[in-house]
Amino acid sequence: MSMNQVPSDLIVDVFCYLSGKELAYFREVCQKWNYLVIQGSLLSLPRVVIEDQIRICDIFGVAHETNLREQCWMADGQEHKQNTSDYVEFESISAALRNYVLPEKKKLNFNTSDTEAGLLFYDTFLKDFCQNFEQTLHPETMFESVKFGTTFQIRCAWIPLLSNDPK
Amino acid sequence: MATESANGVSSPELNERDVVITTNDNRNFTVKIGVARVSKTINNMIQDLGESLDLSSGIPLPNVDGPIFEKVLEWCEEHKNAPEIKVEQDPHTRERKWFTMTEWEEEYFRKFLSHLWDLAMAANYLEIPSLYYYTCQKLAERIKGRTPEQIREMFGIEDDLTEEEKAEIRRTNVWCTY
Repeated sequence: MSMNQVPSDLIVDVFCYLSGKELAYFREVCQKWNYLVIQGSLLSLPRVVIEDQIRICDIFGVAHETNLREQCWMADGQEHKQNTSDYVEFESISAALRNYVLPEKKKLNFNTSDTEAGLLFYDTFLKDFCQNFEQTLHPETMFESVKFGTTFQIRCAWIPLLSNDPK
Repeated sequence: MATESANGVSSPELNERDVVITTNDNRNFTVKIGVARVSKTINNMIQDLGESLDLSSGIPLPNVDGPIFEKVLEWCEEHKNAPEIKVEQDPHTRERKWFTMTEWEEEYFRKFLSHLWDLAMAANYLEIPSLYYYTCQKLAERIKGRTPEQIREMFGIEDDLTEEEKAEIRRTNVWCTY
């Protein structure tokens, strides 16, 4: 079958049932899927998560930030920022995140399991951040979002730290 | 609704009458109007034609072929009295919530497993939300957990990515391995 015969909207409607991580693998199926996954996964993620994942990487000083930023902007440029009501919120959160100093980040244990590490990340960073940010986001809500798109987010933050590990 | 006055016959009575539907391979299907109206596209055509609807001359479906329309009709027959489905998504992740299918629906998709893309395209064109969203879910179920190679093989998709492009995707997907 030529995927060109299948409307893009239909493929995206199939992708809607899958998680971001599953979709990432499907980028390797063909050109059309690659394009639609990049575009679709960004559009389906809560936008604040997209923005946060970049900024969190900023905080961690992550080499992957460039790739992340490329992926995000590749799909829709920066136009969505100017065209959505989330824009102001984006900017505020980004600014707050930029100014946020992660307390004792060395204490994060990157050898723990997904769940443990996720909770640790929540306890040491998100919870505190959200409490200090006028409750714009409920920590639980943000963490829920984080769990979906943000395996990505957390992992990206971890990768360079892991790779810098002398072990 | 215009269908209630088509040919001057009230809706319940009209639903029991036959209409001829012609697919793009010139096959004629004689279908109860009540079944055909599961398709919003056909229903709109019936409404638009109103009084001028000639039940015997045929409603043309230029984008659907006979073998697929036959399968679609099975769905319409079973769902002619079914309520509209509700598409929901998780408010946080925006992942679509999975539908629970009946045994009949599960069997239907087992039977037509190799025609899922065609069914979805036909359902899309014919505007049959239940068939469309359920088929999309079945497609998602089929690709879930499979490798790109397996997916290409399963659906006969051409591998049109260069090795460089694949390498780049793997590089940016490094987070998946953690």
